[in-house]
Amino acid sequence: MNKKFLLIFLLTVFIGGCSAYKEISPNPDLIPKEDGYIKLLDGKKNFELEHDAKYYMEVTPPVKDNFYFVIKNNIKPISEYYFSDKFDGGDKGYTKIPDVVSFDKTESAYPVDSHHKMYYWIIEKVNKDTLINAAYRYVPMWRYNFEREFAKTQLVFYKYRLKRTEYKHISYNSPLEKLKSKLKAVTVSIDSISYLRKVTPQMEKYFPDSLRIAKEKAYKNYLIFSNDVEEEYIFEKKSLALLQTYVQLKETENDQAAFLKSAPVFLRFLKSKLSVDESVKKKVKEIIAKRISNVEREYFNTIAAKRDIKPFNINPPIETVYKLYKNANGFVPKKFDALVEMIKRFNKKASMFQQYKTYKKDLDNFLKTAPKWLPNTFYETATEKLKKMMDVLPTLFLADFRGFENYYCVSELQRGLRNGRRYTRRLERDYREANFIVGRLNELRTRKAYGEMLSLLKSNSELGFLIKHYKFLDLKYLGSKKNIIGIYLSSNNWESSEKAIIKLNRFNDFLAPSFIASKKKELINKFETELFTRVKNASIEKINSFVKTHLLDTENLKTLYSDSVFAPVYRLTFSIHGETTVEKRNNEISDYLEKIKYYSFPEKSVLALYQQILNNKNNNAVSKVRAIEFHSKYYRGKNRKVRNIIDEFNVNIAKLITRSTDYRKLFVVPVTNNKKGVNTYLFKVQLKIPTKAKFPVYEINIKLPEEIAKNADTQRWYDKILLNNTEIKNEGRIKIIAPSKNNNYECKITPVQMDKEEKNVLSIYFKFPSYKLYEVSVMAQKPLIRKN
Amino acid sequence: MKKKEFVIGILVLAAAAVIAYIILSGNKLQNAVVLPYISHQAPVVDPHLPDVNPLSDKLDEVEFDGLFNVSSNKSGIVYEDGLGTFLGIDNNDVVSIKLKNNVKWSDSYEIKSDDDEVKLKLKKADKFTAEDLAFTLKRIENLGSLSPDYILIAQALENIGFSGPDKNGVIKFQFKHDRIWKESDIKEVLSFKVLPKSSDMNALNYYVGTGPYLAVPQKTGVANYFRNPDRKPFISYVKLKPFIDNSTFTTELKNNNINVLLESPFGAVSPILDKDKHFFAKPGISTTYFGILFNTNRLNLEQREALRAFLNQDKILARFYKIGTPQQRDIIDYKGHRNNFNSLLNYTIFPSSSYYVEEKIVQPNKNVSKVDLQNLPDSINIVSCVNYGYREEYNALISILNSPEISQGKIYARAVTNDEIKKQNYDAVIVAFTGYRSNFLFDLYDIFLREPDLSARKINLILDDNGNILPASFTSDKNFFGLDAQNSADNPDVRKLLDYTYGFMSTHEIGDKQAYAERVDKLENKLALGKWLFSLPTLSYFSNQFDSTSIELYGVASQLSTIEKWKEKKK
Repeated sequence: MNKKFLLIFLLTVFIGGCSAYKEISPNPDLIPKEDGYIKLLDGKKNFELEHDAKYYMEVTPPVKDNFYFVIKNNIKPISEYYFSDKFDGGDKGYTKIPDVVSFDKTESAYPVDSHHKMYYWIIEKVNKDTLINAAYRYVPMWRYNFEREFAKTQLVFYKYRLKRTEYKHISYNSPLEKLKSKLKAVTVSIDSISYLRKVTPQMEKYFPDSLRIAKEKAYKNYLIFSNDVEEEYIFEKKSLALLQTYVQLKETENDQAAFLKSAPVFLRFLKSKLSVDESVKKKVKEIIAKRISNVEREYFNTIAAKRDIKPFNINPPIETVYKLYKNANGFVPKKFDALVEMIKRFNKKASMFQQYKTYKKDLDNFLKTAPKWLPNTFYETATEKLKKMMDVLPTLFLADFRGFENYYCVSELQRGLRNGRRYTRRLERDYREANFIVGRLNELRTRKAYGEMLSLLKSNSELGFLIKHYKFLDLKYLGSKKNIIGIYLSSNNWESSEKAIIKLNRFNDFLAPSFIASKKKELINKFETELFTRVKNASIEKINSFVKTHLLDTENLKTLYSDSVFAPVYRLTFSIHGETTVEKRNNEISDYLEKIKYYSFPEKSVLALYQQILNNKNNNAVSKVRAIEFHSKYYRGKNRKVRNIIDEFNVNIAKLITRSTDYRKLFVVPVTNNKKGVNTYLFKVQLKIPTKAKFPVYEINIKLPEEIAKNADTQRWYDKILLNNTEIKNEGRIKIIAPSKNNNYECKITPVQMDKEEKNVLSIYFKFPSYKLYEVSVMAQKPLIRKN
Repeated sequence: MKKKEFVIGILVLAAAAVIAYIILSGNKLQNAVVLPYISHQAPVVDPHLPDVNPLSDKLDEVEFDGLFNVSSNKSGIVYEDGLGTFLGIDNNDVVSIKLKNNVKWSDSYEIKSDDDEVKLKLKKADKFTAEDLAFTLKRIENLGSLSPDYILIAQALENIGFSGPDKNGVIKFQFKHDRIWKESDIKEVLSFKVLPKSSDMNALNYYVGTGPYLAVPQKTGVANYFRNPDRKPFISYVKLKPFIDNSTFTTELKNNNINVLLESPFGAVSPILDKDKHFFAKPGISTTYFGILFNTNRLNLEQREALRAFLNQDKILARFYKIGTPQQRDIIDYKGHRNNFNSLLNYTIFPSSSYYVEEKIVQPNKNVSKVDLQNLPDSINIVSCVNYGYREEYNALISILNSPEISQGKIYARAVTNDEIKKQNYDAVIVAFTGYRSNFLFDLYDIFLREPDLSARKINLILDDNGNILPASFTSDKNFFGLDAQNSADNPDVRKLLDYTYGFMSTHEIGDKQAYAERVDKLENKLALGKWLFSLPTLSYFSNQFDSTSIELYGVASQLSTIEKWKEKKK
């Protein structure tokens, strides 16, 4: 095979194979004018469409505008096609002209006009190989729309049109079931016919004016159809009324109440202007007249059974029965007449009373939705509403209900009206007073005088509604007292606080005393507890601050201890729990302050002063010791450390030495108070060293400050030394060895004979031109035998 | 005219001579402390043993140094460095002392004395060393309880001795651990006087020392003292001036023959000095008391008890001080009380001023027993020797005892020679116990073991090799009482008394001292060995040549311990 031909062949096959759309070319060609459906043929055959192949068909535009191109086909459910005014054989999407009957599974209609060159019907996909059975049509839009709507309407009409033969001879004597079956059918049919009666006139809009005027054939058909629908409707309506009457009469033959309930049906039939056969009507009247003659008893029973004073709610209204009675019987008996009159009157009064109740409800709602703080006009408005109630409240004379006076509903209505009258009159008077009080209350409110408000209300306690409304004032009053007392308390205004609490306690003009009593008591209890707590805390705070401030004071201590801070900041006088509680609370505070005065303050001061002395013995230490001495006069505590410190600085208490060879450090302060001159110092030690010796003998070593002892070689450092109040001297057998730099300023007194049975107190006095605290250490031990 | 001028010239010269005499005679004691002594009772200077002559012990302070010297100031006793410097004591009670290495013994100087002038020339510096200290400690240990220094040292040192010196001259003493040793205590213990190692261990007198004054031996055998050039006290001389007896001492002071009288006659205020502004006085505690000791070989127990009751010490004291008469001898006791005579009365062997009585270790029975005259001999021979001090006092007592009121015809009192006393030819003998200490170191040896010889102080203490006392210490002729313990089976109380006496003297435990004191007192009371009359107060007089503020007196034997600081008053 020649290679060149082979290449051309393959290229042709390829190009041909890739051509996406095959053209459907109808034969004969499409005829673009208004006609019926024309079969789409390929010669004499239908076109054959292959599975998954694509097709298009050129559609020639109509010669006029406002046309649809309609194509009826069998492939709509199994293919995907659309209609466009553009197509060039490519794969890109083209603008789709909507299918106006896309919901229709057998055909499509596309709006087309004469201005386009060509339209295209494009089949994108066919689900299976198939022969296409199609017909096309160029049709004016109005016709296509009318034809489709008219077809549907006709369909309904012919479905529900009653067969005249079946309904022309309906008879009361027909079996009930047959009547009911027909009634059911008519009931269903008349709904559809009624529907057609509504929609048919609307189809006239499809017809252009020119065609209506010209009585175009389609328009003529339409008019005939409209007339048929109306005629059918009247027929069915008559049939329905007759059937309903027959069925109701038959069904209530033994049920008087049911019969009466059907009165409107009967009355409607009898008064109907439909051309019902007069004999039929006469027959119906006879039946009704016969059965309605005993109707009064039923109504008397109803009246007797009535247990409320609402208007009679009788179904159907007795007027309807009255009309039916008159229409069927020609006249109404007097008894029934009186019955109707009574019910009418009752209903009128009862309706007015209902109106009264409605207005009352309105008033009640008005009252119910009343704001917390009633405006000055509130009861004016309420009075207006009240007046409306009064206006509609009728009078009832039993004479108007002659023959019915003893019926419960009548006497009850009379009582209701009477009560209403009393009620409204009383309210009218109360509202007048309330109006005044509310105005006054609003004035008092501006200055939050809740107590006065309560008193005002309490003095008008007969206005229960007002008392009830303003019950919240109880809490308001408590709240205001709470605020006031709270402010007094927080500003430490003890007296005012307590006065306010007392005032609150005495106040009894509460609107809901039983409700508020526990709250009031609770509040008073809370406040008096708080007052107590605050007084206590303030007293404590004050004294704590005082203690902190004066902890280290060394001057004017007497004044300190007589300071008012040791008394409560306020002495309580009231408690809801009685005098015992008052006394208990005052005592609690006083006891606390006493504890501070006699325990904590001196204790802390002593410890603090002592610490200061230890920190710096040269900083005003004597004054601090004096202060400790002063505090000790007040101190009642048993803190061993504090007691030890106090004793340590008490020159009159000899410092115990209980072990030999141990140095006992002790403080020495002047016993005189010459701050700028010579002072006398004294310190005492008591030897209480356990010993088996009958006559214990010791030497006393006193380690002295250099300042005291440094001039001992030229001036005797001590003034006198007493042993059990007997002076001992550096004479005779007793040696007092002088302190010197060489012996580290230690003075020795030896031998010192101790009396085992007595206190052995060594008192050492010395004078020194200073006003200071010194520290000496004293030690006792068995003496050395000395030569001299 | 010439004659007139001549007369005037003679008168001027005479006036000048008088003035010169007055000036010279007024200055004859200048720059000297002149003390009296009884010519035949020259002081014996032994720094480690007490002597019957109170002046002897006082001179120890003039001549010798201890490692530390006890002195005093206004505030009391002070310890000054002597031959040592205190370095410290460690936690194990080891005391370190640095010895001074440049202190010369007094014999380093050649001393030439020409009447009042003393010239010194350094021969060869003989310096103090640790060997001298070792020698001294050895001597004290040998003396044992005879020496108060022994008690002092024994109570403190584990062993009497020391280690060292090291190259820095530091020696170490191991002190006992039973107390906190303070510097002052250590210095007190180490205040014994130090002798040179070249000294005779048992010499009668010791002249070589390192103290503030150098001994200038005199022909009479009594030393005078001249300022140690290495110490330079304010006053150059300490002179001892002999007199016949103490009766004229106050007159001698008045006449400016002496300027310091450490003990006045009777211990009393001198009528001639008392209100003389040229003198000032300083009282002190009693150091002498009189007792009448019974000879147990002549008087049996009943007789002794009767005699003890018979002798009325109150009356004797009243007569002794002529109390209540225009001639009353006023006294001032050491507490400053005037004429508190009764405080002088003693009721036991321990004087009332002593620690043991004051602190009621012994409780004297002051109740006078009823005298059973039938138990007394017809005549009681009481003697005394007036030649060894206290002549006036002895004579006064003899006179008082012979007075009818006291004697009642029973007592025959007289002055005898010392030989008579040695022979114990008496029923009772009056003895003045001198230099007694009122402190713990009261001396019972001086009473019970002293041989009956007032010229010397000989203590008959005989110990075995273990330091236990032997009965021979109580040999009949070796004590005033004629006590003999060698046959203790016959008289166990005598042996007990010896043991108690030794126990008291040898212990350095205060508790033991108290217990033995009580026992001795009771036993002596039982044995009725004597009548313990009364103490003499001590009153010293000084010429106001001296600055009274520079003179601090304390204690018993140390009145001269501050002599280095004595000054003459500035004019």
